Amino acid sequence: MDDDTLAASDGELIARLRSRDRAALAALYDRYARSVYSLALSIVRDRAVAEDITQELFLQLWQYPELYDAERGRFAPWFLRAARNRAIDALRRRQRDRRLGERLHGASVDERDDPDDAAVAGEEAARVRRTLADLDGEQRQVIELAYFGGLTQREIAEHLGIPLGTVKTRVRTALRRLADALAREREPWSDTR
Amino acid sequence: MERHALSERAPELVEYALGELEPAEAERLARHLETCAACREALRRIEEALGWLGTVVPQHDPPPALRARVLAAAGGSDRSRWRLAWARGLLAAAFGLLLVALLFAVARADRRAEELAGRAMTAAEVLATADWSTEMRGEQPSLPSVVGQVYLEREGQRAVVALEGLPAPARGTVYQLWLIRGDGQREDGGVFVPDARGRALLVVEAAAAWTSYRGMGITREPAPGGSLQSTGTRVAGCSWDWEAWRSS
Repeated sequence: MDDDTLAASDGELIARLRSRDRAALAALYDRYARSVYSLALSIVRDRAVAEDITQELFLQLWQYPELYDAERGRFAPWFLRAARNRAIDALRRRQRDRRLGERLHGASVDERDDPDDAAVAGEEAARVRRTLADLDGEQRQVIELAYFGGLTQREIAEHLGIPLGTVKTRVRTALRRLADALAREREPWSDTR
Repeated sequence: MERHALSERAPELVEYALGELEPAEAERLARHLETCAACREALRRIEEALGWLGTVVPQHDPPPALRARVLAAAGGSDRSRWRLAWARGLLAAAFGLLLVALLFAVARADRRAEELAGRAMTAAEVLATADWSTEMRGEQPSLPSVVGQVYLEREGQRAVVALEGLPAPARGTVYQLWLIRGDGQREDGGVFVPDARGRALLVVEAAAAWTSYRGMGITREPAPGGSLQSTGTRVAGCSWDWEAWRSS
């Protein structure tokens, strides 16, 4: 892979996908496949399914690069959100008939995770990591159940035996802290509650 | 400026980003987002936080062969070859499906042969056993009154949906098919983007027999993966009433 490709920004690589440049796809794969695969694997807990999700996402990006709209934010979080949604979808399809208790298995981030082993190098990933570690246990629990376990806030309330309003407040507070940590230099997310 | 609106809408925006809003609520919020820059910015930040949250999991390397598979599939998947074939009528549609299966086989030649054979067989089987068909009707003023045809076997769980006349979805969105159960619950039927002429041919797998469903709907959802629950404007749909059909 040439130096220009290695040094190109995500936006430049996406633009090159539109002119059917496979080297650009290879470069994006090398940047994000590990993050996408790891995220999918942590949700579906099945290597073959995680591989399929990774392959489908990169091929969809190749076929329809115009689906990424730079005006709506950076590429990495957009792509990871797509990976998460697809993995949750696969999880729900597979577990539709299983009991809620079984769905909760593995719905939290592994405590042994090595913070130096960052998925995507960069300040944003580090900030999210630090903020998540700083959240109180209750906030962290609900955001993990929602994000990695694919539970709705109502399901979380039932599982934890707490009011739905409390779950919503905790999820919102956790997300606000993450958003504020990402935008430290910008105006904080205004929320009077 | 519009900070008051943002504060009021923060809970709703979070639920929207998590895909938990009821369709009617999501549609109302989507309309609000079109005109409210402050809420759009807030949603962007919530979505960005959700995206970066995906980086905190333990990291594992995907198998090296996956990279080769992705690049090989991309090499064989020139956009025109990935576009789905269109055909009018059942036999023509069956032919189109076999063609699609063949192109898929070329594009993903590394996949196991039996899986490909299974895929082609599935499509052919659906059309061979279909005993019910209904029109998919456009529900937006800009669309034709009929945008396609649904073929299914009432006691089975698979269907073929052939569509035409759909405009390219707006930037950053895809079409998503929803299967509507008898109790009104919606199930994800997959995302798609029609070809340059607005055509798409979908093979759909339901979670239960079609007798426990009462219709389908198509919405516009965020690309590339669509939504966990329908959040966008419904553009087309169909419905059926088995009881009325049986008694007729």
